[in-house]
Order: sequence, then structure tokens, then C-alpha cells
Amino acid sequence: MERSHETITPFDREYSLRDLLPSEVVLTWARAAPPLGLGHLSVLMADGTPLLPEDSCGEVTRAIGERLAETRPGTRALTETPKGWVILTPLVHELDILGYLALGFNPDGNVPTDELAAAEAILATAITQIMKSGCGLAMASRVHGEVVEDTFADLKEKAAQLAKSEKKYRLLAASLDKEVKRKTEEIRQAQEHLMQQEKMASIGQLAAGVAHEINNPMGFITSNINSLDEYAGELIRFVTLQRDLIDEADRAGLFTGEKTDRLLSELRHIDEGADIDFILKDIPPLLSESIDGAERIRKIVQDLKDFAHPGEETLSLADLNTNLDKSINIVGSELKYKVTLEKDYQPLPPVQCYARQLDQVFINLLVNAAQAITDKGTITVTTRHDNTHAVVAIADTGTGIPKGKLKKIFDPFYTTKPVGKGTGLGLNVVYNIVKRHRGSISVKSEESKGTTFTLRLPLHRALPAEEKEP
Amino acid sequence: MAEILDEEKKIVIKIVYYGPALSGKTTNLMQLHDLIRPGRCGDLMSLETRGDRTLFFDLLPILASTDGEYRVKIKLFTVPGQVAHDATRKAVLSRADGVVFVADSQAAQALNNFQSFENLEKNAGRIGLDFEHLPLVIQFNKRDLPDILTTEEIRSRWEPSGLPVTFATALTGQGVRTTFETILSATYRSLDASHDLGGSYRIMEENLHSVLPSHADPVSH
Repeated sequence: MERSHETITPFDREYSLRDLLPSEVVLTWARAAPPLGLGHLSVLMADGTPLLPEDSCGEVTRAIGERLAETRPGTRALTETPKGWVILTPLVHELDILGYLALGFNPDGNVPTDELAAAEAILATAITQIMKSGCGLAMASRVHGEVVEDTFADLKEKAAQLAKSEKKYRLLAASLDKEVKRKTEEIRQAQEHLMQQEKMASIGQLAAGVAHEINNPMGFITSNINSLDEYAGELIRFVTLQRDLIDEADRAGLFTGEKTDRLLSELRHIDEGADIDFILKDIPPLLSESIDGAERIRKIVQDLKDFAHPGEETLSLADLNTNLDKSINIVGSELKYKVTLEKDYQPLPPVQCYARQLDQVFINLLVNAAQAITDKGTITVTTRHDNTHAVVAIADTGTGIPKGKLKKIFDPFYTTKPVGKGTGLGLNVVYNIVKRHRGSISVKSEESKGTTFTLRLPLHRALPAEEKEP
Repeated sequence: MAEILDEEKKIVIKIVYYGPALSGKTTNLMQLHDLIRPGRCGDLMSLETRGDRTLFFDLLPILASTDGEYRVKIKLFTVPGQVAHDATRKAVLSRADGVVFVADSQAAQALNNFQSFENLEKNAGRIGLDFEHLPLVIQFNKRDLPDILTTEEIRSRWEPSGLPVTFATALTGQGVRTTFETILSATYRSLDASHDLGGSYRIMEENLHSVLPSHADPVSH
């Protein structure tokens, strides 16, 4: 641990004489003592160990040490050594005697002189002062050291935290960039969607106009062709009878006279030239094909009209499960040979809706699903609901829709079917009806795996004023 | 956590005077220096002061004699109260055997007291002192000033903590002795429980109290 020494030498520990009195100082004094007429100067620890390891007066110091080991005088004391008398002064720090100052000798061998005693007193006071300030310095510097280390550790920790938060902000900045890009893409898509809607709205208006214009002539064309079909039937029966009669009369030789012969040969000539046999046979299919065509035109026009203006209908409460069953029955003929139909219904609360329009939605989706299945497959119809919405999913195991085309499938007039097979309005009609119901439609598709259309229709809704007039 | 020096036959007890800036921690020590029996008290060492403000700490060593062979040295420390010196405060608090929290009685200082006490708890935790069992005395100082919290207010606020609360005017010495005696007793009890001072070392509570003169509260210097 970085600050482990703190526990080894805490600042408030007990200090020894060695800690507080530099030995060099004592050495200097000891060297300076002889010229001043002092026979001996030494400093000893309380237990008698000399402070200086190498001592000039080894013998004397040892003698003092032995004396101290026996008794530790609490006050100033005299002691005799082989070379003379020595004064011992306790060196007190914080009430503890940490050591002794020994000063000697008297040249005459008697007890120390007053001068010696005075020098001893001054020196002892000086040493005590040195110890005191040494102690203060030692404690202060140690505390200071601890504080610096502590502060440094704090700073390091703060620096680490700052580095961490800087990293976090960098990361945040980077992800912000990503987020901006994502949002931009979202907005771009929304804008595209909006443009798409606008396009669809204008196409819708155009389609409505065209549909209206086509609708009138189509009315009398259909009616006329139907009448014509009826007339043609009569005419064919009439002409066939006439031809049979003429043949019969000719065989019986009833036609005589030059003028009759001429008329008869002219009639035969025309009959053969124009291939009346073929004409008589061809007229009914021609007419029935035309009637079919007219019917198809009527349907397209009707789709166009639905696309532009939904049919008039009032909101009612309907059980979507019932409506789905009805729709399944209607398209049953398209389904029955190649499709296995699976129903996974959950009881639904009544949904406020335009029931007939929803039927149209279901039929269109079911027909699409059936057409997506080329050989054999399954269509699964699922109903669920939550607190606010009814959910209807129609899934097929058909060819699927390529990813690139998913975006376009709700566009009007978009179709993948061969010319004449689809108008490209089916899903657009679905889309508009769902939108009218304030619902949503989503599609999930995987090529050669199948497609799922999921409708979410609100259970209740307030009808906005504009919607009241279709 | 008392330091036991077997070679020197000495036990060192550390008591720290903690508290907000200018609450009178150093003044407590100055009064004790005058109060302790002569010969039992060392010099008051004030380290690095700036004006009247303690920068590092003050130290008052006190020596108590005992019936056994061990002497007891009681070291009183003060911490610097100023918020900026937190690292020093933490260093001085380390290894404390007892803490006197010197609070300022002035109503305006309530927040400082609170923050300093919180700081004490935090630092105790950082240096590994068991704050729950740390001998602790709360001294409300400066009772001579106007606009102070009443003793009733203080008692009602602190009594739930179970901590002993004393009242003092350290400037005149009033209450300083009581506070010191209270922390001595609390610290003795705690150390006796952990180190068996009475049994193993023949150190009795009255040995610690003997550093004070026997007559009560002499406030004449």
C-alpha cells in the first residue's frame, strides 16, 4: 500500500533522543570542548548508551553509561569517573527524561567549578530547545507529508474521475453524432412518406375525375352490350331458321324463276364469302367477352372511386371475427384448391367501424395472400386485442415480397401481376380504409417464406367532422 | 488503540479536540495547561499558527503516575478547524483514543457545528476508527456569548445520541475541567475494556484524574 509507512512511523509517536538531537551537533561540541578547557563532553541515552557511536573519551563515557544503567538521576547529579568528576544533566522532553548531558572534568579533580556548572546549564537548556523544535519539525513535516500524500491521492482520484467522465462525454458526443444521423434519417423517411401521401392524394383526385368520366359512358355501354347480346341471340335464332328454311325450300325445288335463282345464288355467295356460319358462332362469345370486359372496367372504376372517395357508410359496431368469416366465404373459391386456411381467433370486443369497407380490406388481403401462393400453402388468420386496439393478422406462406418493393406495395397502381390481371389498387384501397379507421397496417415479408399483414384497429374512435362527408 | 511501550514502561493515550473553526479547541488546551498540576504537564506546543488559527495542530503532553510500573502519558491534540485543512485534520485524528468535540454555542454556528461533526464521522471512518464505540464528549463552548442556543435546546437535540454533553466558557476556564474529566473517564473505560488497564497494568481511573488538582474548578490564574 502506498501510505503504509504512515502506520509504521506515525507523526504522533514517541520520539527518542536520537530522533531529536542530530549527532553531528554533539560531535561538533565534543570537538570544540578541549580548547574551551573542558575535559569531557558527551550525550547519552537514558539507558546509558552513548549517542555518538565513536567516542574520543570511550573510557569515561563507558563509566557514565554503567552508572546510568544502575540509577537514572531525575535531577542534576555528579558522578565520578576514572579521569575525574562529571556533571550529569537529564535532558527532558515532554516530561520524559530522554537522555543525559555529561560535562567534565575539573582540572583539580574536585567537584566541578561554578563555570563548568554554568556551561552545563546553558548547554542543557540549548539541547532541550533543540529537542523541542526538532520534535515540532519532525511532527510537522510528517503531518505535512501525510497531508501532501493524501491530497495527491485525492487529486489522482479526481483526475481519474475526470478522465473517466471525459471519456464518457467523448462517447456521448460520438453517440450524439450517431443519434443525430439516426434522427435525420427518421425525418427524411417521414418527409418521404409525407410526399408519398401527397402524391397519393393527387393521384386520388385524378383517379376520381377519370373514374367519374368513365363511369357515365360505361353505364350505357354496358347496358347497350347487354341489350345487343339479347338481340343478337334473337337474330342468330332468326337467321339460322331462315337459312334452314331456304335450304329446305331449295331442296324441294320450290325456288323457280330467273329472279329467284339470281337472289338465291347471291345469297349463297354472301353466305360463303362472309362465312356466316362462323359469324353466327362467334357473335355470342364476342358479346360475352365484351360484357366481361365491361364488368371489369366497372370494377376498376369502382376501385378508383373507392380509392378517391370511400363509399357512404355509417359507423357501426361489428364483431371482426364474424366479418372475417364472411370474407373468407366470399373468396372461398379462390382458396379452396391450393390453400389450407387456419384460423386463430380470440374473442374480440365490438369494434366501431365501417363494416363493409373492412370486408373489402379482408377480401383484398385474402385474395393477395392466395395469389402469392403458387402451388400449395397456408393462410393463417389471427385475431387478438389489447385495451385499445383490435389486431388482425393475415399471414401466407407464399412467395414473399422483395425488400426493395415493400415500400411501394401500398402505392396506387403498383402491381406485380401481368397486365390485365391486377389494377394495383387492392392494397391501396386497404391502406386508405385502414387509415380512415385511424388504424395502422404493417407488413413483414421474407422472400420465398411468406408475408404477414398486420392490422391494428382502434376499438373506439371519435369521428372527425371532415370524415362525416365521404 | 493506546500505544503501549513495554521497554519504556509507558502507555500513551491520545485525546483529540475536534470541532469547527474558532470554536475554542486551542483555548481548551491552554486552560488545561494552566490547570494540570505542576510537573504533570509539559509545554503546550503550537505548531504553525497563522494569526490565531491553528494550521497543523497543538499538542499538550500530560504525565500521570500509577500504582504499577507503567506510567501513562496523555497527549492532547487539537485539529485545525478550517474546512480547507481536512487532510491535516484526518492525519491528526488518526489513532485517537478519545475525542472531545468542541462546538460553538452561538445559534449562527449551528450549521458549522453540524458539518464539522459530520466531517468527524467521515474522517473517523476513513482512518478506521469505530465511531460507534469511540469515546466522545460534546462540549458546547462560548456560553458567555449572546445569541447562543439554550442548554435545554442543546440537551434535547443531543440527548437522543447518548453522548455526554458539557457546557463551557473556555476563555475563562469554566467547564474545561469537567469536559476533560468526562473524556478521561470515557477513554479509561474504553481502554480498560480493550487493554485491561486495571488488571494488567494496575492503572486505575483515578490515576488519570490525579493529573488535576484535587479541589474543584479553580478558575483563578
